[in-house]
Amino acid sequence: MDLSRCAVGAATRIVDVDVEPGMRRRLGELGLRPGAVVQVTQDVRRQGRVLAVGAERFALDVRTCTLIAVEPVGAAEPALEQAARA
Amino acid sequence: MSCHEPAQVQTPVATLGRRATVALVGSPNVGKSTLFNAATGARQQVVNAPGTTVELATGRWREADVTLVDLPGAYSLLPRTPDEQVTADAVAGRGGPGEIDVVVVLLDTTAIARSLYLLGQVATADVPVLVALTMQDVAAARGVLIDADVLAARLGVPVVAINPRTGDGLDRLAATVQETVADLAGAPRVAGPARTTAAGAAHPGPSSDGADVADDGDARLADADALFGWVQDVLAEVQGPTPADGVRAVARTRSDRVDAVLLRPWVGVPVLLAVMWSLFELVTVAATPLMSWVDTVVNGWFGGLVRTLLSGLPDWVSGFVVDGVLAGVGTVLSFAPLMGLMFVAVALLEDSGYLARAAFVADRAMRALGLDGRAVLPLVIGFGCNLPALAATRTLPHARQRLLTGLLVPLTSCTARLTVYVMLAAVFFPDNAGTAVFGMYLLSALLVIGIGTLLRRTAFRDLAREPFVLALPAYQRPRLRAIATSTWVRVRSFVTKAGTIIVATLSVVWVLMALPVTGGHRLADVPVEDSVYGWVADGVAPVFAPAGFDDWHASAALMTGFVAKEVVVGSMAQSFAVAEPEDPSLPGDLGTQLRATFTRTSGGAPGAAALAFMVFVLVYTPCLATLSEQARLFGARWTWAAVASQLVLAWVLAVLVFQVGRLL
Repeated sequence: MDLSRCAVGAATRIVDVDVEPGMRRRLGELGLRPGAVVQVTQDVRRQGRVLAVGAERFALDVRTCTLIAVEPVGAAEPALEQAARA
Repeated sequence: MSCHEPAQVQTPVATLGRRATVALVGSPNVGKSTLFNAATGARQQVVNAPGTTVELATGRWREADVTLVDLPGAYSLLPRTPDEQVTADAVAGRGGPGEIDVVVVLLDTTAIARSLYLLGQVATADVPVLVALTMQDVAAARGVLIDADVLAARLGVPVVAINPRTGDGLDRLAATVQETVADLAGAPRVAGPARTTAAGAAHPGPSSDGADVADDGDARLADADALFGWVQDVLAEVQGPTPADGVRAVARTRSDRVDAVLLRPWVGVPVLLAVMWSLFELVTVAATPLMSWVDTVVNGWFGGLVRTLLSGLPDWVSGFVVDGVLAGVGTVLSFAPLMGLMFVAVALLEDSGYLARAAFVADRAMRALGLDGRAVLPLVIGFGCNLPALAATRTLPHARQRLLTGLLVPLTSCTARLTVYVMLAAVFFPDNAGTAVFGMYLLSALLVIGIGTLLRRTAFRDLAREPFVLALPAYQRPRLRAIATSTWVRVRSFVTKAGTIIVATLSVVWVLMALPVTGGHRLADVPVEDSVYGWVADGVAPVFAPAGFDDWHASAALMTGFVAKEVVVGSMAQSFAVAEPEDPSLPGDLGTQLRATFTRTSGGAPGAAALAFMVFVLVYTPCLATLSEQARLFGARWTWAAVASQLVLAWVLAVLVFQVGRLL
C-alpha cells in the first residue's frame, strides 16, 4: 500500500521510499524515512495529502505519495477519523 | 544551564580585537528571521552572499554586542539548494559572511527531530554552538513538550527557550551569547554526534548559484542514518521512550481544522484567486494615489522650491537638478510606497502561514510550467506591476527558482503597458480594440509559458522536478512590528541601491535631451528632434523598418519607455508636438499623427505596424526601476543578459507580426 491510499487518521509506518537517493535522504531528513510513523491529516484528492510527522505537518503531491510505501499501524486516531467521515 | 544571568564578562571586542560574529542557523519557518529582526531592529543590511543571488542579512545585536548574521533557512548542511549551500559554507568557514565565532541553532519544538539532526550537523563543524528553542507554544498545542533544562543537560550546551514573536527569552539569549563569546576557547561543544561526512558541512558543492548541489552516495545516507540514531537517543531522554508500536497520538489542531476547509479544491482555489486579486488591486488601485502624492510632493512642490532657489543660476543648472536628478529621486521615492505595500502584503501572507497553503493549492498548475507553486504570487502580481512582483520572488525558497521566476516576471504585461495598447488599439483597431488588448495579455501569458519552458530546458536544466514536500507551519497571527521593521529595511535597500541606478540613468537621459546637435539652440532649450536624444532615436529608427515603424517618433517613445512605460504615450505626444490625450482611448490629434506616420512607414499596412509596436512594447525591457531591482537581486550579469534577450525577442516577434500581418 502507498500513502495515496491511506485513509485520513490512519497511522501508518513507512516501509520504503522509492525516489532518487538525494531526495530519499532529504525526505529522511524531514522525518519521512522507513520506520517512521505518519498519519494522513488531509486528503486533498488529486492535489495531494497532508501528513502529520510528529507535531509537524507536510503537504505532499499525489505522485510523491504513490512512491512512499506504508503499512498500517494500530488503530486510527479517533479525532482524525471522525474528521475524515465529516 | 538553560538560563544565564548576565555576568561579568570581557567585551567581545577586547577578546577578539573585533566584534564577534554570531550566525543564526535553522530550518525554514523556525523563527530565525523574526529573532534576527527583534535582535537587530533596523540596524541591519541585506546583501547577496558573494557570487550568489542568495540574500544574507547582517546587523548589530546591541544587547549581545555582536554582529549577527541571518543565514538562509536550511533543513540540512548537505545542501540541495543554493540557499542551503550558503549556510553550509558559512558554518564551515568557507566564503559567506566571513569568520563565524558562534552559531546559534534554532530548534523548532514542533519539529524537534529534524531540528536536532541539523544541530548534530552543525555540532560536528567544531564551532561553539548555542541552542535557542522556539515554537514551544505551538508544540504544546500539538502535545509535544520539551524541557529546555533537560535538553541542555543532554546536549551539554546552553539551551535558551525563546519566543521571537513576543521577544520572550531574548535577553537571556543575548546574555548567553555574550558569555560564550567572552570565552570562545572554553565554550562547550555539543555532546554526542560523531564526525561524519556531513561534518563541517564539508560537502564542497558548486557555487551557491550553481546547478547541482545534490550529491548523494551511500556514505551520505549512512551518515544521515547515524545522525538520526543520535537524534533518537536524545529524544528518548528528553521526550521519554517511543511507544512500543511507534505511534504517538496526533492531536488535531486549530490549523488542521482550518486546513480541512481551506485546502479543499473548491474552497482553496477561489480563496487563492481572491488573495491574488487583492494583491493585484493593491499594486494598482491602492498604490496609485500614494505614488501620485509622492510624485506631486517631490517633483511638484519640492521641485518648484528648488527651481526657485536656483533661479539665479543658468537655466541648465536648475533644469539638470530638477528635471534630471530630482526627477530620478521622485521616481524612486514614488515607487517606495508600492514596494512597501508589497513587502507588507507578502510578509503578512508568509507570517500567517497561508503562503505555504497557497503554494500547495497552486502547485499542480505551476508545475505544468516547471515552477514552484509559490511562483504564482510574483507572476500574478507582475500583471499589476513588475517591480513589486520581483519583490515577491523572495518567497521562493530556492535561489535558482527565484532567478527563473525573476526572469519571467518582465514578460507579464503590467498596467503601465496597458495605456500604450489602449491608445494604439483605439487608433488602429477601433472596432476590435478590446480584442487587440486582450490579445496582448494572451500573448504575455503564452510568453511566460513558452520562455519558461525554454529556460527550463536550457539554462535551468538543473532545476529538476522534485517531489513536492512542503512543511505547513501552524497558522499564526502576524507580528506587525516585525513586519514593519523588515519592510523598512527592504524598502531602504531598494531606495539606496536600485535608486542609485535610476537617478543616474535619468540624469543621463536629461543630458541627452538637453544637448543640441543642430545650431540655433541653447543647452537645455532644444526640441527633442534636435537633441542628442532625438539624433540617437533617428539613428535607431531604421532598425525597426522590418517591423513597419521606422520613424524617430516611435523609436524615441520606445527609448523613453525604457525608463517607464507610463510615459510612452506622453513622449509620442511631445515629439509630435500635440497635446497628450487625457484618455488613451480618445487619442485625438495624436491618433491622427500616428495613423499618418505608421501608414507611411509600413507601406500601407498601419494596423500590422501598430500591432508590431504593441508586441515590441510588451516584450522589451519593462522599465528602469524593474531593471534596477533585477540588478540588485540577481546581479548585473543576469540583468544585462535579460535586457539583451528581451530586446532581441521583442524585435523578432515585432518583425514576425508585421511581416505576417501585412499579408493578411
